[in-house]
Amino acid sequence: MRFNRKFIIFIAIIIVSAFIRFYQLNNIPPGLTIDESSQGYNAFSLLHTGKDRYGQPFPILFRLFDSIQVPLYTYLTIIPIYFFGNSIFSVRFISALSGILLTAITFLLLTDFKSKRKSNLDNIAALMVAISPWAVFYSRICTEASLGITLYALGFLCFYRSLKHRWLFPVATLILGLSTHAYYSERIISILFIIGYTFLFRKELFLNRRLFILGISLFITTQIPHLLIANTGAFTRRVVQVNYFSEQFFQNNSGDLSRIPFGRLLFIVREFASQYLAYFSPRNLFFDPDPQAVRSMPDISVFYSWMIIPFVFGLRWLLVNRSLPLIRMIILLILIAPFSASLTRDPFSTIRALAFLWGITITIAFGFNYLLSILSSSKFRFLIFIAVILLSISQLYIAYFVLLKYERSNNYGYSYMELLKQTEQMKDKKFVVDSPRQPAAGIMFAFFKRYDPNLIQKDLNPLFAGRYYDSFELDEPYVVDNIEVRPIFWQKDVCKKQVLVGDLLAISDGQAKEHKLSFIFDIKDTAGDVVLKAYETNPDVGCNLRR
Amino acid sequence: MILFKSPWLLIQLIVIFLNPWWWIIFQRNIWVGLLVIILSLVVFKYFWYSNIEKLLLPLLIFTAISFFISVKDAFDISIFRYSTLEIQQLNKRHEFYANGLGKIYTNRISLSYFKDFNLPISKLQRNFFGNLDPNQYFFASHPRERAGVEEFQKYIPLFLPFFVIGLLYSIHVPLLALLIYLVIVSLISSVISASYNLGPILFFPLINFMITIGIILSLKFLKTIK
Repeated sequence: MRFNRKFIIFIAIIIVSAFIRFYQLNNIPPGLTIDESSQGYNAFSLLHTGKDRYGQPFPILFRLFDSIQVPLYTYLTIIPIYFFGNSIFSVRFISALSGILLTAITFLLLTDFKSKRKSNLDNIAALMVAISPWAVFYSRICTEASLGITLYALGFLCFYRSLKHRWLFPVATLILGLSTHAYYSERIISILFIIGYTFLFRKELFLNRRLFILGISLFITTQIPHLLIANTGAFTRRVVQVNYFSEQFFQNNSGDLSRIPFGRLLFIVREFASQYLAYFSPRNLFFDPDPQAVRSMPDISVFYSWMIIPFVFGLRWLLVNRSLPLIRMIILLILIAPFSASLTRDPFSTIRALAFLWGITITIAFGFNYLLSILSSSKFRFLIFIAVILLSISQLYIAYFVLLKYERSNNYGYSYMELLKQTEQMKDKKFVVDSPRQPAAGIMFAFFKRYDPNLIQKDLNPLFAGRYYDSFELDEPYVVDNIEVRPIFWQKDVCKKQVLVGDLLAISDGQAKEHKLSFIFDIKDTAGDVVLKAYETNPDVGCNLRR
Repeated sequence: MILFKSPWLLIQLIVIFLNPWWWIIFQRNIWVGLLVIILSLVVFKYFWYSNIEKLLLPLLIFTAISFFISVKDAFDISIFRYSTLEIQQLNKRHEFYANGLGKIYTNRISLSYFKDFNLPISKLQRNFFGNLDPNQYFFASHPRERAGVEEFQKYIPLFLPFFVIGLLYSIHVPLLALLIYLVIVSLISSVISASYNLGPILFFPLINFMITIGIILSLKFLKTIK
């Protein structure tokens, strides 16, 4: 790459991307979700014992209560945990790094693309990825999906480059195969992509059959770990949890369709069509955020509202240039990428459609580049560009660094982190933390306290011995130093001298009065609302009353 | 007379009468039902046959009538009136913005914008993008049904592929006048409440148009194969 103006701009974009992703990474979002706590502690446990917290040596998939996590992110998180210790920063590090890499990959993908109009397409696309809300959001939480999309994009880049350099084809399939271990969605869309790509470029591929067969063989090899556990419940657990194919879901949601022949088939087809179409809806892309609070920012969707304009022009650009190989690949990506997400019942689940959002971002970049290029005055072009970028960054800052910090702290378990600080100041007391609405509190405490994984393994391993990939319905009580995380058992717990901690549903004022509990402290969220209350028991009085 | 010389108009009429939306409109308001048929035919004729100038005035007139009827029945008052929850949220966010933005927020211009303009703009955007949601037309907004809105299916899902073909064709060609008309209709429809019991009637002729040209193009394609 020549050291020129384009390269300098690219470096500046990478710096912007890195800054946006690492700025206050430890504090925003405030706290750790269930998934983040689990990933962090498992990585810590693997680093010190070679086993996850359940005592399973180097699992192919990681269990998490009644669900399953894909492995690659957890294994990679061992590295930042080793260097930076147990912190929110180290848990999110791989995501942030993946986000920066995705920016660079987008640049590389378009850097040799020849356009009729003078263009900075590569830098514009990289900048769009650097500042798009979806890309920023998922780069700043610990999620396997961010690693998944980066690997997928890298594979995509290699596939594109392999059209000129055939030897890259096996590399591309290998990387795409790895992406299936990074996130669930990639399991399906990788296969669909390889099929689509082979069909589109069959003439070029079959010129060198040996390389083609090598590539496919490498991809199949990367799927062996999946096949090893294919017969266990773990392989399909996530799909089972979120699909709409079950008879029960059909009976509860089908309405009139349950009374007609082939009703269930029609229901499934209708569900799929509506879910698939939802990903293309301008309302969802440019206005309404993902309905899951822990997967979105307040007041902003996956793209900025103004991006609908370049999106339309970008669509046109794709249609007009659809004969070009890269454009055909992007169209293929956009069409197949929502497929995995459309098989689930969660409406507009952005985490499952990151590859799709990446394809839309590139489309927007095409449109934006086109719009800038039709402006004759370079000063005017520059002004428009700067105004739009500044507006976007302002919107992002307000939605993410201000509103999310204050309005969504409960979704990230912030109050439990604050609770942990309180328990550190009261080490002589025993705490029972009510768990039904925050089952991961125990893992979070264990992670921040650097609690000995051998002790956790000793507690959890016997619960499912020999059924790591098959059993998903077990309660998991955690005991970390002076803290027990489990449901409160009123009959027994008031008869011991300890501190009971729970949210406003767990311990009401009436219950505190009834059991003669003494209020000690409360924990507020970042908005100043009380979230947790701590009460000390009085066994002499509270227990006697029960007798 | 201009309207009825074209054979493709028959397809347009079939699309109109085969979609549940027109029947709902007709049941609830006969005159609007008739109005939207005429507007659909005018839209089709004007845009498909490349801007017949004689039809421009009727197009504008019928569009304006549809707009005024919608505004009279269902102007979205909530754009300028805040609910209790919204006021609570505004007050809380005032603190958050002040803490997070400092002097960038606590100046007259910013305070005025966030207090008086931010929420109305957001609601206008909500209506704007809500009307552009294809799920609203083909799946009664499923899977993201809107709270407080009587969702009903406007078109049978079988028309969806033709709609997509028609939309992509309009973008690809491009049918510039149609896209400008779409933008204008989208903007003016932003002031109409999503809970209007006839739905976003200004979009009725546009969706019909897209479906119709999708069918026409598909038929032409089948002819070339034979």
